Amino acid sequence: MSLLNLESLQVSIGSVQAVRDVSLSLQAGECRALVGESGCGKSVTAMSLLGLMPGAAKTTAQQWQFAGRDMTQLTERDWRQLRGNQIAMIFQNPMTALDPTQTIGAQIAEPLRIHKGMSRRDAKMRAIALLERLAIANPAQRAEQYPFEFSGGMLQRAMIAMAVVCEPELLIADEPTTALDVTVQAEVLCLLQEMRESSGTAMLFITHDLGVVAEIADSVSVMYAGQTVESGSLNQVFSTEAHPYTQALKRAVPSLENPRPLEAIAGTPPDLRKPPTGCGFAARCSQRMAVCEQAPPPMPVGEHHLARCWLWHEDHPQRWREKEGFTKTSVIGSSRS
Amino acid sequence: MTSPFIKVSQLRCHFKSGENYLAAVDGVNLQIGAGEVLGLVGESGSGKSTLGRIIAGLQARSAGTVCIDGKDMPQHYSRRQFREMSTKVQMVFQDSYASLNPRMTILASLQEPLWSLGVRGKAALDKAMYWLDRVGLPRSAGERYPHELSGGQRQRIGIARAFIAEPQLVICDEPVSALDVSVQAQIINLLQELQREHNTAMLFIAHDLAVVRFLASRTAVMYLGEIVEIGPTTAVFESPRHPYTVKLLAAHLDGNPRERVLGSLADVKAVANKAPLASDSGCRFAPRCQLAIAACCESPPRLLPSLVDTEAACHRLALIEEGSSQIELLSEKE
Ligand SMILES: Nc1ncnc2c1ncn2[C@@H]1O[C@H](COP(=O)(O)OP(=O)(O)OP(=O)(O)O)[C@@H](O)[C@H]1O
Ligand SMILES: Nc1ncnc2c1ncn2[C@@H]1O[C@H](COP(=O)(O)OP(=O)(O)O)[C@@H](O)[C@H]1O
Ligand code: SF4
Ligand code: SF4
Ligand SMILES: [Mg+2]
Ligand SMILES: [Mg+2]
Repeated sequence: MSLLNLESLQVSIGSVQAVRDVSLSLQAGECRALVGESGCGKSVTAMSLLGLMPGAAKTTAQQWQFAGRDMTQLTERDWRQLRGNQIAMIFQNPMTALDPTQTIGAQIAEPLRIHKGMSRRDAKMRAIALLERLAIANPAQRAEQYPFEFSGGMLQRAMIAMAVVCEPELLIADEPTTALDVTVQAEVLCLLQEMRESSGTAMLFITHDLGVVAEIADSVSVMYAGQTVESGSLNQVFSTEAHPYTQALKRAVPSLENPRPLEAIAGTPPDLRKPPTGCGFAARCSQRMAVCEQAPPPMPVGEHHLARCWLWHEDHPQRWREKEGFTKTSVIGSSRS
Repeated sequence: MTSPFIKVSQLRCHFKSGENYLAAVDGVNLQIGAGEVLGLVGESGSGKSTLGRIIAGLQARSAGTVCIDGKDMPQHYSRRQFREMSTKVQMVFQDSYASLNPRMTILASLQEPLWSLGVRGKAALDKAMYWLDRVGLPRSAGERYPHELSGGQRQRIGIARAFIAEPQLVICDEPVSALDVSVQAQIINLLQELQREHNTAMLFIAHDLAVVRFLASRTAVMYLGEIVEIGPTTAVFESPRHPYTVKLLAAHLDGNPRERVLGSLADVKAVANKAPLASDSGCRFAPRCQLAIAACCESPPRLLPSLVDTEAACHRLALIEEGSSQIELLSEKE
């Protein structure tokens, strides 16, 4: 059984339909990358998974189970028990997520005292041991310091320590390396990888850097304008980019091996206050067809590989019939309606 | 290269830090020819931005000379000198929001560099309109204020503003790292077009090695205040000589799931980064270098020519050049 099964999450904040249809599943120990350009709803999805959206936000989901629990039924008290304990998060910006008035050590130790009922002393010892494992020199001294005394890379490691200290079953990392340079980024990714191997934590890794995705993910979900538009294993999504947006995204990334002109994606994403009724990518899609004025459901591309695009519909003349390993011919997504 | 447009010699910029001095830039020599694009890469805190800001006249140096277009520049500029210099050298920042006046409309911000050239009125307005078109923004964007634009749109304005007075050098400090992949591609392509169109020299500072490789004809690598390797981009990327350059290139993630590199970065978390101090002796990379020998800690290595037309500052350059590929050399040691 999956650790997380989320189907058709929708979140609106005032007039903004930030998340319109997001489906995600995660097995225990799996690392899934969530990719997409800024504003497409990645962070809102992450905050919802942690029950952290403000009261004004309206959240619905067709299905939402985590570790066998129905998450649509949780009370605020249940959430408080879960958060930082079974589900934890590394935030996009460590400077705003850490409390500037408390020492790093105290902040790492706090979840242990709250969730595991540890004494102040034991929790602190554990925090120091964790800092040491995260390759912070002089961890005991460092634990007594405040956030402003840490460099960017060290702060990010402190955030990781805070998130993993209770050995959560699911770790959500929201662009944890976007602000770092390549050597520090490699360092942080190695640490996350190690943590995942040693404690079997599943990870939802949010990023717009495809280089990072190729390096650490087992599976990938691509988001566009509030919807998951493609999902599959890492190799499926990287070898058969099925959705035109995924294809465009890959062509826009410069490569070190073969420097070539970059193909920018023309146009801008739609305004989520008035999202288009048809395919969300239609305005920028070079393969647009008449049918694209209707919203495409997710369609099978291969086993566990879905794309929300009419090109993969069974009635579409060329594309997919020749695809190797393709057996299922029904449109899965449309069975919902 | 005849006479370089910019020539920087023995440039130092030290900041007081407790008892000691932090050597943000420590003895840098650099030339940029007219119309040439020089890439500048290196770890966070290695002094790239400081170097760029000194050349742009936004930061005073502690020692050394800066010669722009054949003229020696003073350590501190008078207003007139700064204005004169800013018609020749312009800068594009990572955060274009911070470099635009929030209370000025986009059109006014665009015209500002022209005013200091004495271009005013309709001539300035026409030029600003032309540049709105040129960077791909609708003319209506001119009436708006910086906060009303997206990050990518603001960066287009930052670029238009840098190019509008037709400077001979544009310094770009991580112009795309705050932007999305798809927007990054638009901005990089725009920068390259403009650079070619106007034959502008460029100092391009970036963390993204692939972008530097794509744009720059020569590349310099900085490590803790010093240039440790410099040369034609292809040679630096294909035959890196300095052990830090090798490490930097190895940490680049190229988006190929079949070639994962993290596992092979064995010592990636070995040493926490320290700040460069003026009192340091020897090679600053030694604590992280797998090839370090006792001599490395005694005297600082100087930039010396390599066999591939680059220069590298490493005491063991000869040894490195003997081995066919340095990466092999490093892995043999393990
Ligand atoms: N005004 C200042 N006062 C004191 N120290 C400074 C000042 N400006 C820069 N530094 C220090 O100088 C060093 C170089 O900084 P700089 O901003 O040039 O690095 P960088 O290479 O641009 O890094 P990044 O890649 O993170 O932008 C750093 O250690 C920084 O803390
Ligand atoms: N608190 C909020 N109030 C109103 N709109 C919001 C709020 N948070 C996010 N949004 C909007 O929701 C959309 C998705 O945002 P976000 O999830 O932060 O994107 P990203 O994919 O960059 O993480 C954007 O249009 C954003 O402006
Ligand atoms: S559904 Fe149509 S418009 Fe949308 S991505 Fe597919 S081809 Fe393009
Ligand atoms: S001088 Fe010595 S320590 Fe420095 S890079 Fe060369 S081999 Fe390594
Ligand atoms: Mg976000
Ligand atoms: Mg900088």
